[in-house]
Amino acid sequence: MQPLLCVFFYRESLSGCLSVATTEASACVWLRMTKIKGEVSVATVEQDRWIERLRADDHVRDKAIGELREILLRGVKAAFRSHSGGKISAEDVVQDTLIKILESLGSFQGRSKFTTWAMTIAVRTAIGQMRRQRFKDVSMSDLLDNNMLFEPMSALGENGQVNSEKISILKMLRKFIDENLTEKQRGAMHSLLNGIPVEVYAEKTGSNRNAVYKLVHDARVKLRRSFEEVGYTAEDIDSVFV
Amino acid sequence: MTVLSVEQIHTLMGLVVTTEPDQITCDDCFGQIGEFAEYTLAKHDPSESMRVIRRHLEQCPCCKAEYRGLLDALYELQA
Ligand SMILES: [Zn+2]
Repeated sequence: MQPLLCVFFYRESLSGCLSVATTEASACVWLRMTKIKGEVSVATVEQDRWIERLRADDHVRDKAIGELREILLRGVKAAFRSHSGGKISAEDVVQDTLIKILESLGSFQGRSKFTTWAMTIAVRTAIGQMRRQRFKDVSMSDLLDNNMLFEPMSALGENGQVNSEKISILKMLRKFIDENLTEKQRGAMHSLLNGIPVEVYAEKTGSNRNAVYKLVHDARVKLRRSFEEVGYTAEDIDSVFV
Repeated sequence: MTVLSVEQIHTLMGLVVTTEPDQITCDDCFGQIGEFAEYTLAKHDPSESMRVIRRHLEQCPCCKAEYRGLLDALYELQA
């Protein structure tokens, strides 16, 4: 019998990656055709039945969850090895991740392999928990401190002599921070310089990660523009400081 | 009130001089990071929209750390 090939989904993703989803009887086959240097080639043919299996009943679903758990556990343990943070359990992370995945199967868009998508959720969950654990004792007063003084030694050059150009740039930086940044921007920047991740700062101040990232990024842009307006390019500052 | 150390001041200056425009949020980045990681693992040149992700990763320490963790996890699965 000839397999029934029914195309039910076709789109061009932002990456220029053509995704064609086909169905052959009950199997769901994903063909991902990747456009590389003008040539379209079938880069991956992925027989990806995860969604179907995870939505099935009883033992089919349980078996799929068991397999996914093993995959995620291997990945999360590898991610742990390269990330320092609070001590957390890989098993707990995977359990939390599986709940998130089962609740959000409908949001999987097929932009990547299913297991890659699942792993992005697992790694974000893992690193998020490590950050929360590591910075659980940071107080609000630490976070609200937005007064940044500069260590006098920072004006010294490599040879220990006072570097007049450094002093001049530091004075400008001091002025730009005080006059051009908002109190919130100073607070977020101050926390970042003290090693507090944006995600932790956002949670502790009742904000969200997107908003705090934007706060910090806008502050960086403002400082850079302030220097440019008085004739200092990034290269000028780089040559003196970095 | 905190006195920033020499190292922190250098970090601050580094943040100022490396700032580039960034139109996406951490959530936007998260939505495409799996695809970006697969491109990286396959050693393919990212498309223009993927370059936006790279630019965000260069400026966002949180997303960068998660991306590195994801690559480590995916390398492990390939092994
Ligand atoms: Zn981010």
